[in-house]
Amino acid sequence: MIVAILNYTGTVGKTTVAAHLLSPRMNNAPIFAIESINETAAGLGVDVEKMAGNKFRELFKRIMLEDDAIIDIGASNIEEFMNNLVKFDDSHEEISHFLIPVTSGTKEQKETILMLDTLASIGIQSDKIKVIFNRVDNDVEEEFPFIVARHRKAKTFMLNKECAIFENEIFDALSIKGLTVDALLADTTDYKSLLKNNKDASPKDRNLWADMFGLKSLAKGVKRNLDDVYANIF
Amino acid sequence: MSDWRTNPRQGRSQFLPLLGEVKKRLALGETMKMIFESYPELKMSYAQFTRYIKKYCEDEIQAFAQKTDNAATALNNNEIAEQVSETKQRVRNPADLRRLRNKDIDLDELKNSTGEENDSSNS
Repeated sequence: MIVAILNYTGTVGKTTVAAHLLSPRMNNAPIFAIESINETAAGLGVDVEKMAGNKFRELFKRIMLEDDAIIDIGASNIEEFMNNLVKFDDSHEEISHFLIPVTSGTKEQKETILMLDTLASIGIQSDKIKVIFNRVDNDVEEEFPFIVARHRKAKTFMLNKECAIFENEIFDALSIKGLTVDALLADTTDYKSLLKNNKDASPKDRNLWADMFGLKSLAKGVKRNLDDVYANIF
Repeated sequence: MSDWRTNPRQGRSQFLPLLGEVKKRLALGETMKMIFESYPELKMSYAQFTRYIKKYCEDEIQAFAQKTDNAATALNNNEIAEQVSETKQRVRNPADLRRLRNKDIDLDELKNSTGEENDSSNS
């Protein structure tokens, strides 16, 4: 399965989707980051191959050789990527799903609608274009009225309100630590025992253990949320 | 009319290599005018272009007319208008892409518009 994550606008969670949601559930599929400016999932300890938007032919060749792959298209390279998607006739056929993360800002929803319209106009089938609601507080319908209205008007993409990643401080915290949710949960260190049995350890170490213990506890709920989203996307 | 001996006809030899693509676009509902205008390099009049279409794409025109007749009974006028508008926006080159990218979206109109009842595709 080849999955592309894209949006005309930045900071909607494309890299979060690639590293935290998809990669661990797609047998650690390789991530191709089409990015020249912003941070990639490599900062989260995930294997990432960085490529420029103008190396489309190379990317195309690489994905043809992979069974599973994730293409994370950064906002800085999206125009170039889209130009190439049009130039290379039917290249979109090689991509199984186009995931469009969106956050609730008005500008982000507007740019997302343009992205969705563009993908549909290229001729991509509606069942391959899927919205992921990111940083949701409570209610998709209330927080994303324009996306919901666009879908009501024309079903050129898939909208499933269950595809909602809820706002959680863990994503920011893990970007500082360079970890994914799954990597954190795979860490078998018993931080609670460390704290309990090493009262003389340095404040720095004790602080780190307490921090990791709190994050692991937070990660369990986030993993459940991501599992649900993944099950609802595909 | 110009003399064919000094100005040999090229229309058919220019049209036939495009035949497969033209047929596909007709089947997708594009008008002859839309297709003609997307090939500015063709050295023939629109009238001649339509004559070639009638000659070589008769089946596609009839099939699409039949499909449209059937669809019209199922769709209301708004839905048809929307489909036509979507088809017109079809992206074929980077210039189309840029035009679409710069399209203005009226969020107020969008929010106030009514659509189909079921707003969830797969939930």
